[in-house]
Amino acid sequence: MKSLPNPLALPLLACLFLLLTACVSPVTPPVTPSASSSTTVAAPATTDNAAAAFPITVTHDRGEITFEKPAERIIVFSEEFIELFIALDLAPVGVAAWRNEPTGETFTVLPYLEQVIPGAPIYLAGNEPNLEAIAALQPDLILHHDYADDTDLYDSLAQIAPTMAYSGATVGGWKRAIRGLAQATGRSDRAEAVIADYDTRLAALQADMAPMVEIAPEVTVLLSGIDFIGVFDERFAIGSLMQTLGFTLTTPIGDAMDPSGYTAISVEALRDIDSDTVMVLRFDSEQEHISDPILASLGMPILRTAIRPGMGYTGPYAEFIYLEGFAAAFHEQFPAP
Amino acid sequence: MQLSAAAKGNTVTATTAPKPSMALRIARSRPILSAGLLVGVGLLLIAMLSSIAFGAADISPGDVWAAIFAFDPTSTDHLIIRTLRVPRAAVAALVGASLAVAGAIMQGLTRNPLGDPGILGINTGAALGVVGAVFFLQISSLSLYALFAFAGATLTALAVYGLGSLGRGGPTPLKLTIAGAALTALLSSFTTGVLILNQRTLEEVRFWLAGSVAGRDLTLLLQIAPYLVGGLVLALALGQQITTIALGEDIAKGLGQRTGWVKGLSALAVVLLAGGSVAVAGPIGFIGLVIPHAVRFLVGVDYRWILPYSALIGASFLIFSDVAARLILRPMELPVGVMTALIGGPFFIYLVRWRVKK
Repeated sequence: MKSLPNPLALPLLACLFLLLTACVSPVTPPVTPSASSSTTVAAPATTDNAAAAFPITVTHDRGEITFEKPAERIIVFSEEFIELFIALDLAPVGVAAWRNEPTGETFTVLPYLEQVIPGAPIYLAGNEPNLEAIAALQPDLILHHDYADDTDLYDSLAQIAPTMAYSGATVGGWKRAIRGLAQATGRSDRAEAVIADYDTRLAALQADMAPMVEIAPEVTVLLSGIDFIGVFDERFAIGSLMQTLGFTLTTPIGDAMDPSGYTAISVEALRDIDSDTVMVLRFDSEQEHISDPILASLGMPILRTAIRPGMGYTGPYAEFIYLEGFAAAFHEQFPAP
Repeated sequence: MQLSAAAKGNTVTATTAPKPSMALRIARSRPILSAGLLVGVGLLLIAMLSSIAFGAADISPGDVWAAIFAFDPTSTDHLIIRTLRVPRAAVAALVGASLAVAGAIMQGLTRNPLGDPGILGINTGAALGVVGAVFFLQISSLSLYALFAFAGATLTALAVYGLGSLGRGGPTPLKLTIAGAALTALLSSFTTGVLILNQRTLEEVRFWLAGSVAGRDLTLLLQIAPYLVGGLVLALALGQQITTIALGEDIAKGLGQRTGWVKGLSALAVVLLAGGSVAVAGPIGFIGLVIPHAVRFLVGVDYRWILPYSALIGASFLIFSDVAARLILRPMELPVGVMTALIGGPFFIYLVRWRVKK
């Protein structure tokens, strides 16, 4: 299992990813969901290739599950994995997502994508959902985002219904999850198409960024808030995305980095940044952050990209939102001749 | 035995107050206590210099000096001193002084050695104010946190005072304590309920709830400073009256004191001090409890001395705690509220054990 950030790191990140209201403009998701993404979709999951060979055994991070027939009543955990249902045009019956909370009983829209979730699933709260409510939905599959490495929760869920668990915390980790989900629902063809589309777009973006990598190969990636600053390395999904584009990540604190790949640091530590550029992720562009004057004094390009509230770290949509934000910031700093 | 005598001196009723030894009487003579205040000022200056000189970045004394007296806005080191360390030291000094004085007043007013501003529900009210604002209004700035924290603290303190004033005898220490405990429990339940039901709110306020002076700039401090300074002035002006009322309300009345006014003004000072502090820095515990006791060991039971000493030592204590919070995990930082709890917790246990033995 992938280890988590230190106890302060994830709450901090979670806090930040939720902080603001409407301070960034909506961006069209890079992978367009199919046209059937509509609030009127209420039917349970259906299969693309229902005649696929069932029973089928699916491997996940905590074991294997054999499905005699395609799963139809699925409960999904986390924004990262909700993206998989949008990508597969699959309708969950219930959603447990702690970064975004709907005003009603159903979770119909993933706010940072402004995308309708097929099937108008029931909202089941966040990290500690009501197990009775989950059981009441009579799921035949639970897709669990195992980011907290919570064996007790997994065991509880597994007693209610077959539960597939994936960490999904690493870049591309969602690919394992979407393949498992697709196998369990008979949609493997569509999953492979989503993955192929992702890979094609990523290759294009890497080619686009290659000249920037030549100009400024080393980058420090920061997360900035009003009163704090944190740094990523390649072990965290966001840092790994930057590495995916071809950049080398450096941090001002060297070996003191938390194994999770994110460390909240003293603003004073910014003085020790030694890289070609600094990429700052922040939620808003108007309020001054405590780190702004220090960063401005470093004498190196400071690139900024806005984070959408409530967005996960990985997933076929979220990753491209980050990646395209990075690319836009580099293009603005280093315009083509 | 100085410790024993000083400990007995903590008993704030006139009837049980021990007769100080000759050495203690000399130690607590006016000239000595006045000189002690100067020492306190010196300690505060050392604390502030430490706060400005030490941090995650190693900056030479020469650069520290230059940052203050020959500021170069293009120098990162100078910016660290000017924009980070100086405001932080100022916030810690004012908040530490305010919390300690508020705690001293509460202990004198309620004649409860475990008293601190929390008895009036200040921290609980502030926390509910911030949690409620985040939950209902989705606020996300420190200045708005401060506004709602201050409002929550003030309303809660007024409610406690109102409840504690019901019935015969007006706001007695016992009734205030019970009203504060009851309202604290009620409001804590509301806060906990919101935080459990709404994960987003919990994640947003988790760090504010820990208490910190990091990232607070002079603009924020200047917004709140009038309340804190006003509270300090009011508190210092009430020193003699609080000394008298700490002897017991009947005695105070017998001496001609208008106890209702004294209690009301003291409560106002506590609200200004503790409400302003929690608005700037979040709920920072143990200073209001620990510092007045430490001061009483030094200066006895006269609040004309307890209050200024508490201000100076409280300010120094919070600054040193913040310096430690910066250096212990360098280049990371601990919230200073965690550090004061680490230091104050053992003292609290000692205090309870000492009271039990006594």
